[in-house]
Amino acid sequence: MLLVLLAFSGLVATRPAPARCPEDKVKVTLVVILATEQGNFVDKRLRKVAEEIQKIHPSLKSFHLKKMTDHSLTPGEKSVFPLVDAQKASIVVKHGADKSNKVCLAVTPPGQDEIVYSTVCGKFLPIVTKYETKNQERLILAVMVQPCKE
Amino acid sequence: MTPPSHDWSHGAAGGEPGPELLAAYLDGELEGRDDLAALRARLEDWIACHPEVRDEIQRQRRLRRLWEQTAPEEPTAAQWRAALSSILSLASAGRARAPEAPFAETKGKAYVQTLGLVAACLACVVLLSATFLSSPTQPWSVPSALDFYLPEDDPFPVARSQEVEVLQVAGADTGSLPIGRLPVQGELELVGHDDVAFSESNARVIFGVNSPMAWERLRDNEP
Repeated sequence: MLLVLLAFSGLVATRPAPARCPEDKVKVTLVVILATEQGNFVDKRLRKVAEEIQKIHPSLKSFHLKKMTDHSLTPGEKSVFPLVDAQKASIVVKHGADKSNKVCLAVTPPGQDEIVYSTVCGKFLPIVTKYETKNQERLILAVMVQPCKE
Repeated sequence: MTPPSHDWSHGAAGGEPGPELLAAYLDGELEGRDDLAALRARLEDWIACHPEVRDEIQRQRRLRRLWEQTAPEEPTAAQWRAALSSILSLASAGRARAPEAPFAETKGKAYVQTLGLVAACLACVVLLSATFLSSPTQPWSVPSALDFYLPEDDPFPVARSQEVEVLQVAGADTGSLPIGRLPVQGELELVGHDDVAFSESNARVIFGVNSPMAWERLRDNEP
């Protein structure tokens, strides 16, 4: 056991950093939100999302957090996120954190064209889609990426 | 003694498993443990991306197999009894010889000394065999790293939050997960106007009061 520990101590201390491995991946977090014009319930985690959207479209009264998902993607890798009602969104990380510490993403909501943008890490971008469930719930996505450089 | 931690952050360069965790993995102490499945999976992913560590693990495993294959068999109880009887009888025969001949006395002493040496060597072999072959699954007699972490009187050890990463969960179910890092902790923080830049987008971008957002109009009464 002691010899094994010594062997691994030296190995961990001296190994070079590998090329394409988890250190290069970007974690993409997708939150699926359903908003309706009925009721008055706002999930406390969506308070800021609801506030911003209601300033523009006050008729949306209730906001429910349907699902939250994490995928770790390498640049160029496409991932499909299931949403609601068999709808899907695809996300591609165009590149990791650049000189301005922003990650570039391409998000394709259901039934829409690709949205490409660069963003800081740790904060969500709301995407109000044109998809509505049969219960007249508006599908809203919120996307966040991590990590950026320290 | 400070328990060796298998927390990832205690690794040599941050974000790496520590040597104790790697040794525990090599010893098979993470196998067959549902509560350590996530840790084992994460460790195996890390090992897969570090070829030097993977190769070292394979070399250690080959060495262990060689050790187990070449270890001598432990003498049986009957063999031990026969050896002891032989030693005792030869020792008795040596004492019974006439002591008048210096040559004979020297020769008798040599017999006893030789037998004593043989007995000592056999005892060493038996001791080493008992130490290293005490269990087919745990050849090492030292406690495993996880013995320090898992109390013996806790039959259902609970994972720590940093050991579990929840990848997907329904919004209504997050309250049923007291352990684990959720994709979102607490309130969603929105990007500010300076935090995001759009390009090649066909979606309408609306710059709200505090936060921009992409907005596909569904009805005429929408902005």
